[in-house]
Amino acid sequence: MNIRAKLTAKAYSAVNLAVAYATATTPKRIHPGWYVCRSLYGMRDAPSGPYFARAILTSHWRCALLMRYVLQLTRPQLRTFLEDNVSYEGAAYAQHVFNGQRPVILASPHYGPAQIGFIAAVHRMSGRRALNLFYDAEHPAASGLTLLFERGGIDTTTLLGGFSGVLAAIRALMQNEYLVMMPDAFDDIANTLAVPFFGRMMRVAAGTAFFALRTSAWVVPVVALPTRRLGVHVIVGRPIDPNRFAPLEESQAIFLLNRLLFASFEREIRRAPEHWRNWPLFPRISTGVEPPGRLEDDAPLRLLKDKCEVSPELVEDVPELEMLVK
Amino acid sequence: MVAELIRCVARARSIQQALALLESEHAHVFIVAPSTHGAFALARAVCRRRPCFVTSGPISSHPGLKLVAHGRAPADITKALACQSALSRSVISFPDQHVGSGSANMMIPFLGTRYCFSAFDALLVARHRPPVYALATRSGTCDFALHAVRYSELFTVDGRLLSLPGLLRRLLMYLEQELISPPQDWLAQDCFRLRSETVRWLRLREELKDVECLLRMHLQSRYCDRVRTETALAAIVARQRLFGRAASI
Repeated sequence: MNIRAKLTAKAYSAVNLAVAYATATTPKRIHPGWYVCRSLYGMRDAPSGPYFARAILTSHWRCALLMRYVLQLTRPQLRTFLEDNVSYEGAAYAQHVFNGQRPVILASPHYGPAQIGFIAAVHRMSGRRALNLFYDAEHPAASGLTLLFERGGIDTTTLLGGFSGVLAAIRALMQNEYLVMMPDAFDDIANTLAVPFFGRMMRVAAGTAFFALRTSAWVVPVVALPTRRLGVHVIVGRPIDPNRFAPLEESQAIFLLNRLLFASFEREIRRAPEHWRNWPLFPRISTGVEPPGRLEDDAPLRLLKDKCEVSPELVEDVPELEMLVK
Repeated sequence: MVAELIRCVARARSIQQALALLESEHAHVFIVAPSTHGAFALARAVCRRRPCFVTSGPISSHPGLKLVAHGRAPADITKALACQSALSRSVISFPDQHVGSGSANMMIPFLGTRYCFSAFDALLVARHRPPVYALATRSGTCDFALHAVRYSELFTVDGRLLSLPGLLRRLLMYLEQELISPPQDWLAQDCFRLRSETVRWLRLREELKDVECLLRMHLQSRYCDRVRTETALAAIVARQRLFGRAASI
């Protein structure tokens, strides 16, 4: 192993100490953890406080060092890392899906070292099929990502955005390849839908559900988090079968599939919230429901009635709502 | 520091000139002003000289501006002055920060697009016909002057108003010129942005997404009236497309 990789591994083991020192000496206004806490200020059931701020900084540094470390490994070293330093949870649920004849979509939120998680999941389940990803090839991090997948021994195709990307993704799924999706990020909020997430209605990209329904691809939630010792813990969620929703109208099926997928993400994020990268955006891309927890506990129609009472112009704009709420 | 000193001197001189102009006006006046530091300083000076109401909004109700004692919500001012032929107090209005709701708002052409403003200013002028002055910034040092706004030709001979939006546009004429290149000390950027037609369409579209989410959740309920819910859902989806398209134009 080269000296740089060894140094990165040493730095990884000293992250806790470094974070304690940095948190004590860094002003709150430039501390990434406190920045997230400030973004979530006023959201009643959101994580916050000094422990959360410290955990965020620890997560940022661990993920960055992990990524740097794996990029310094050779192909055999990366294989050894994936075998020795990666632990799995829930992989048994998904084994039949990976061994089956239907295409698979690996879906993950922007959480922890997600890229390493995808490689580990593919490596664990079967390394034979090709992987397709949507990402901007001109992004500074893109070259590192390509290199990482190459060294992981995975045949990777970069898909462009837009209509050609959609066609290429459907074609890849038709050929039983993997498609990697991160549905908690989007380019344009206009093309999103709202689903319940952490007690709020969050905007999410509909692409994952759309591809799954069009090609009958299994959707497998994959979440990766950095461990205390140099390594990754990969949680493979229970696969979602889109054929369950096939009898429904397409837009309702897309909503229900996304709801199920984000419920699975929420379960994992609640276990270790500090690894989710989208916390600063969360208040801006979601609508709150007061009091917290009401979205899960109360009847949707009662929530709708309250919403129409608060904004009477809604009923003026959409008179069809009156039949339901009056 | 020198620039700040120049600004203070210019502001003090502008306030003196504006007060001298108002001295010559014996009736109570209606002043339309942008939410700038200079305008708030003038409002404080006018409040010391004559009985005044200042419209309270998210900016003017800030305690640091020392206008809280004179601040009233536009609806309260309208009520307090009801049944009076002429104004019993001067009124200083900051229309760029009022947040009206529903029918209390009017969409008028403004800055090359359409913006939503409270109808309060136009209603008050239509009812009481006070002398109206508008504040306009003159230079980069934030000195300003009051300009009289004439509106008599917007009423018929028998005293009926021809058009309420027309009157509002006339009252906001100087504000529009002011906001083509906003003064340095303008404080209402955030409030004002929310009132453009495009932003309102976008907000409405996002609100409809929330309603869609609730309807789709309700559709899964055992007690759902499917026909009515699906009708409402179809209407919501159609409106979203419409508003989305309107926002992108």
